Amino acid sequence: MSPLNKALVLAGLAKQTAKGSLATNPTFGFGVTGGKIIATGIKQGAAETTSGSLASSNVDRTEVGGAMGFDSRAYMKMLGLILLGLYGADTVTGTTPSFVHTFGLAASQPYLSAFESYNSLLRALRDVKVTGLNMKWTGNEPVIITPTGTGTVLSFPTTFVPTTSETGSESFLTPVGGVFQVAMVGATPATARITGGEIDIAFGTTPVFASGQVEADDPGAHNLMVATCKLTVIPDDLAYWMQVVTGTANGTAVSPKAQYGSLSIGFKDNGSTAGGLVWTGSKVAFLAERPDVDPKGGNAEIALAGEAVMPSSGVAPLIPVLTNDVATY
Amino acid sequence: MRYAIAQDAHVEVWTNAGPVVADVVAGEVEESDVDAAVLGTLIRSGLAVAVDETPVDETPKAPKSKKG
Repeated sequence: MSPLNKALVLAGLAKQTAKGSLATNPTFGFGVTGGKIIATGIKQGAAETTSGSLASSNVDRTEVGGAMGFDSRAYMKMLGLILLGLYGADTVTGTTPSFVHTFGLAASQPYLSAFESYNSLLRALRDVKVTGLNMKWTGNEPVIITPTGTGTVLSFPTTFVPTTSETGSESFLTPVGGVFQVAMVGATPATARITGGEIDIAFGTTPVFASGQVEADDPGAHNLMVATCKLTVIPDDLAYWMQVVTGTANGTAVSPKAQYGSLSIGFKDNGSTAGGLVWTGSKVAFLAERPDVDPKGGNAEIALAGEAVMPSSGVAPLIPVLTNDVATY
Repeated sequence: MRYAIAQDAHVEVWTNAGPVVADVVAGEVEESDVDAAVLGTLIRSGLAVAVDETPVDETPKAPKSKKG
């Protein structure tokens, strides 16, 4: 036999019909760029018990946690399932081949099944609640997403047959042709010279380990959603910093209140002119770091860090609108 | 209360009791005819707007008197 090959790996995702019902096969299958896909956290340790020798005699296993996590390109179809898993509500408008999915924060979120094929050795994790999504880009390189999740029971299926395979697909998010707008104050973002950044949605849970079984009984209730962004901007002036600190571009005193700005960050589908994803936030409190000095010169950069909160009549702090050819999830 | 639906939409929204899935058609709907979670999602996404049901006063108005 030859050693396992780290490149012969596929991931898969499917939506469950109910908690406890592992999907038979993935709905979407795709390649990844990093991560473990399905990680197993075993909690065990040597027991501290006195005996006739100065060494432990027992090891106790108390928990076997299951987690999902990987890095991949943002393939246009599977991305919608991840966003539905994260937000819990999907309002679909439009007709084939361009369906517009507007995701909103619901009271609950669906359970997903995560699959992994590692050199055709198969693993699956059921009852996965998506606990976070990081979306990162640099310049015009393809967008990389890192979804995370917590599940319950690990299993070892015998088949990995995705309904839709996006492995090697050309339809993934790219910054090329996208929209990069931001405002430190007000709800009307304007185009900015953004060279990279990330959007991060943290929506953690604490899995429930009930007495009687070492695997989690439930992935747990969600904590509050925390939606943040980091943007690297090459500015022509210090207006962003001034607006964050004083409230206006030419202010003369520090503002005692947080300033709410807005953003619209959009990526295009590399494989179609109609597809893409746009994040919008209408109530984003930014912080801005003044640019570094450098005796050697060069472009000054401002690092913007925003925390989006729920507007009074919005569907989410940061709203993702995905346009693809998937009618429903 | 009645709501105006701006365009046809398919809605999937998860509640603690499970998913609610509905296809809504553009036009006016009665609040009681749509699942509350679906309607709430439509309202927050801007696709549903409450219709003003203030009664219109159709009582004939007296003609204004003319001077002169």
